[in-house]
Amino acid sequence: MKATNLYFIFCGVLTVWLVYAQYTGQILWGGAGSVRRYASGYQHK
Amino acid sequence: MVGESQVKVFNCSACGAPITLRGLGQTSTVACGACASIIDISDENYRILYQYFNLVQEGFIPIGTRGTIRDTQVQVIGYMLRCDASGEYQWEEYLLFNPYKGFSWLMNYQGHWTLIVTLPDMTAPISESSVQYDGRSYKLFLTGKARVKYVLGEFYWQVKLGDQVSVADYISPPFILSREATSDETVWSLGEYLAPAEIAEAFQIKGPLPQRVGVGAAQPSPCQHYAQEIKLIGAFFALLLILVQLIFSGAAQSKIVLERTYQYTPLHGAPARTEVSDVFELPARSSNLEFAVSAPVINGWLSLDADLINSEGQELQGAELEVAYYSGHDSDGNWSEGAQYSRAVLSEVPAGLYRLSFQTTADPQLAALPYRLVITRDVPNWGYFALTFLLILVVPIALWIREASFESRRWQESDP
Repeated sequence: MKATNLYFIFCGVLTVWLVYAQYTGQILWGGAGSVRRYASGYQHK
Repeated sequence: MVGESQVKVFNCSACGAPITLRGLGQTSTVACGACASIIDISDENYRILYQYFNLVQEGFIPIGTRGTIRDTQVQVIGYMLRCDASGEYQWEEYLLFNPYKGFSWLMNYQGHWTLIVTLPDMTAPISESSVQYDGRSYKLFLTGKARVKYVLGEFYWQVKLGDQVSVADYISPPFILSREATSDETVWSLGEYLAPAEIAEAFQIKGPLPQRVGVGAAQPSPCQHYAQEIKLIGAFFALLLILVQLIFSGAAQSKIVLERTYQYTPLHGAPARTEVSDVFELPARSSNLEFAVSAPVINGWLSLDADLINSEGQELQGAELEVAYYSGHDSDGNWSEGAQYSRAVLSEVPAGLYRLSFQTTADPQLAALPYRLVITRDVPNWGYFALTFLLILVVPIALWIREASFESRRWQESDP
């Protein structure tokens, strides 16, 4: 496969990734505070 | 076809060695392969023009070798070694002959091969630093003198050792325009860079060719074929990413779902008290959620340890926010550090009903103070955009660096 085709696919995947991340509200980094993500099912006491 | 029957053989007038003529009456001198004497073959007695002894030196491609180069059958009929005025740089030039297409040259300088044809009707305008020819702009690469150091075989003019011309080379890789001038005439020629593999295939050379040294004047960049396309693709997707990001940022709701002021009371050693916010609703699809805390702290800190709890009582995500602000005065004047504000953004929080459970601690020296908590749904986020944008640009930037390095090495050899 040509290098240009590979690069085109690479760019296309990144664009789709950005659209998906923005649509679902994924955060790469989120400000000064630290964020914790719990495994689902952890019961609040 | 270049056939064996189209040759003529006679004996050298100087040393008696047999000399084969392959130029079919189109050449005027020949250099003897045994003694290197140059003979006038237009003279019926083969008059010796210049006599040299013990100078015979064969080129990498022997005289008489046949080959097919750019779909044209050719035969090597002459070999010339030339050098610059100082004699420090020298290069080989092979005279190629085809009975129907005439003469062409093959030049080899430090393993870089160029196929050259003369341009008898060259009328391109010349500026000091560039030449326009056939829709291309050629930049001046070097100027200097070229001196004949050695010849072997036939030539179409009366060549002799020490002949010298002024040379100017202009490049537009893979092409090179050369101007050779004497007091009597100016000759332009156009060359095209050939990869060593093309030479090996053209003349069926099995062994290794001379090793390439540095970057040739007309050598095309190794990424020339796809660099432009890659840059266009990169630019297109970079613009597309910006557009996508602007659309999502513009469409971000930034909806405040909880905004309330709480009061911090010093603990005096007691354990931190857990507070629970009112229930708030996160509508629509999954999206991000921002916690923001602001407090009028001066020379102290206040920390909020918060957990997001859904309607089933499960903690989904948590965040720790610290507001810390210090200021003072020293010999340099007023100073301050930190901020009376802190934020954290949670990723992918599904729609539903939620509460916030949080504990607040603060610098023991702080008195009671209010702090404000704001929770905002669907805020613009630039993190993924920055990452994808940089990843897309990595390849064009790497190509640009590679090309710049290649061109830098090419122009190191320039001497305009």
